[in-house]
Amino acid sequence: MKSLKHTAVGALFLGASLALSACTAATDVGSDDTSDRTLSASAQECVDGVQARLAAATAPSELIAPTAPLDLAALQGDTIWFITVTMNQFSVDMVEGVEEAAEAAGMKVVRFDGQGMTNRFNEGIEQAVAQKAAGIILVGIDPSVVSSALASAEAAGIPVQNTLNSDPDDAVPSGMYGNLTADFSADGAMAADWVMADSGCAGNLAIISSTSVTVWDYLAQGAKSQIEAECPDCTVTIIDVDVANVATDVGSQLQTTLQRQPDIDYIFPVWDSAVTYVDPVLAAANSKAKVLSRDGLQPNLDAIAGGSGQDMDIATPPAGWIGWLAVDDLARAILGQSAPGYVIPTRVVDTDNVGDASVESIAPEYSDYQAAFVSAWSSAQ
Amino acid sequence: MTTSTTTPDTTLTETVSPVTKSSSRFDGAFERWALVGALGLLVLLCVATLPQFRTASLFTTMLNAQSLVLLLALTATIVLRLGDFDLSISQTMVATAAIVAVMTKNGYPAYVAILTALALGALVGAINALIVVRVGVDSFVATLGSYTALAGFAYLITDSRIVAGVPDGFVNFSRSQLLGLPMITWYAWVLVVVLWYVYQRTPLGRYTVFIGGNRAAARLAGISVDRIRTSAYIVSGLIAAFIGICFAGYFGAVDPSVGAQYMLQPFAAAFLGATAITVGRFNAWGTVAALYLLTVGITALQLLGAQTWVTNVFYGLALIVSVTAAKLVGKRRAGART
Repeated sequence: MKSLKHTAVGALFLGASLALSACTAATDVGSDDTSDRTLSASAQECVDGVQARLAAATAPSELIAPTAPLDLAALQGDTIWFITVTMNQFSVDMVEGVEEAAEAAGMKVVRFDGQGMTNRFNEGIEQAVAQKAAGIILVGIDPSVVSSALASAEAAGIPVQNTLNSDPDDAVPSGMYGNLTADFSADGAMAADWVMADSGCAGNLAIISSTSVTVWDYLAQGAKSQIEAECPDCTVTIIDVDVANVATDVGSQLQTTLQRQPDIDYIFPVWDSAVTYVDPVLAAANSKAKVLSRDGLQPNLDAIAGGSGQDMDIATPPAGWIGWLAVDDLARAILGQSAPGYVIPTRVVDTDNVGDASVESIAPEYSDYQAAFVSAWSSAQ
Repeated sequence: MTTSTTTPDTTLTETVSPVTKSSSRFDGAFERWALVGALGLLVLLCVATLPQFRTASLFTTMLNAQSLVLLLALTATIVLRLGDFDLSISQTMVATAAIVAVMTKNGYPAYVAILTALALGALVGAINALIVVRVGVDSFVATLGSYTALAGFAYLITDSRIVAGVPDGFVNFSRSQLLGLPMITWYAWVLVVVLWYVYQRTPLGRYTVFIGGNRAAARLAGISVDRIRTSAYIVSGLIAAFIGICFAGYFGAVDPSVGAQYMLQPFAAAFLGATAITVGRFNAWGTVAALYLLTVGITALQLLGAQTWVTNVFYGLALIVSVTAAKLVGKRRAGART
């Protein structure tokens, strides 16, 4: 054991002595491979086809706001429940918008954090029913796991909104009045378009997703289908991670995938917060792969603006605006009006159009969206 | 002095008896090195069959990916050796990482953020010790409580948001490479050596074995049981806080929701590690071997294209098989003695 001890101490000294010559700072900026590539005819055709779509996708989204008035008097004093899968950054930003909008409409809001647990989801809906909620905004929760509670809500005449859990044209789940969501499949295709354009239709894309989250799978399949349909020289690989162990599973599976396919040059974790777990893997592998994701969270937009760790994001307008939209949609359901059929728009944001990553840069039409809602709601008062 | 070791899980107690004179030298060596041998064989098998295993970069990325889990697993052994649990380490890590991220983002100097983080770690350890050692609450329950409270605390100080933009100094502290490996991997290995030395080469290491084996007997022998248990919790909290500082730098951002994802793997590695090298005792090198065995196996499965559920099954089965085998060996030994 004595020799083992000496070996260990020796190893430490060896490591320390080599540190000065071998230590590489993680934040050192390496030189990028910027060599131009001459496009083949088929690649050029692919790029030409993708440019038009991408031009539309990179343009600022037009403001979506109600045009019809609301009977605000009928809503006074009503309480709506905001039940979310987990109170993450997006949910916090959205519920603040919900509370603002509800206050403007004379309603109250109860927040309920599902904490990622099915029993909590059901408990939240049952509590809302017991406390005679006027309506429920159900965010990111698979309706199939709360079918019994949804039946209770339906029996009590409480409208429940299926929020950000489907594509817009998906069938409305039993017990709910409608879908308020983005077109996740189209967003996936949009991400694929950006990869094709950026790579000259020769990109090798790894998508990090989880089949257990419906909309993430939509994003992954949307991107995969687009690449396969439009880009014969591209490759696409889907990494299916365990959603309960994202922090450890993303790193583990990505490093293995990069080992198996070292030519991967684009990484697409389909939700923003996963980028955190991608960066250290790329740093350790000395990979220059570009990173794109979806959601439009501020840290990710800031990373694009700062040129650190991310290259593109598919951004929704501010989450607070989604909160206002959800309240408007739900209020109309409470009042017995037909659903306006809102679809949450998204925009491709990269280094060319990120600006300073502020709302004014990312979604200039949305800098004063509250006024548009209030104006429409009170137009007939 | 003949010693026996125990663990918080009584299912392991039968496996922790010392190698008795009746046991053959071969049996003892086999038990000690079976897991290490399995690791070696698995690596050789993978090298022979999977071309990716013939590259150094695969090994460096495997080591890199497991550094945080290894640090936590080693930290877990500190309290486990005393027959207690400290389930709060993963949330202490996240909470202290959140403190570093939030404070530096708000303009506090790095050293203030670091000292605050370490102070939080020590405070958590002291509170755990107070509840477990002084009041006598079951350690599993008490530290599960602090684990949950710290999870809430992380949400509180981050306002439930991801805090990005951790300063480059922290990033370099964790990710800078030395001999092709990030510094966080070196920190883990340094901790392995330190814990190995303390566990195997100091009186304190012996005392922890006595305390874990029979607390009352240890008291009668004059060992300061309460003081050592209290110190262990505080050291555990301090190291968890240090890991939190590494965590903030490693990811460059802190998501307050991830603590739960780092809770079980370190304990799985620590328990599996107790079946190797110093059989029946939570030990540093056994923990390393166990974690790397799991990592190599899972990486091989991933390279073969296995789906996510396969790796989960492998992880669970490896733990069950190893601990069951150790228990059976313990029973056989007990039978041999009688």
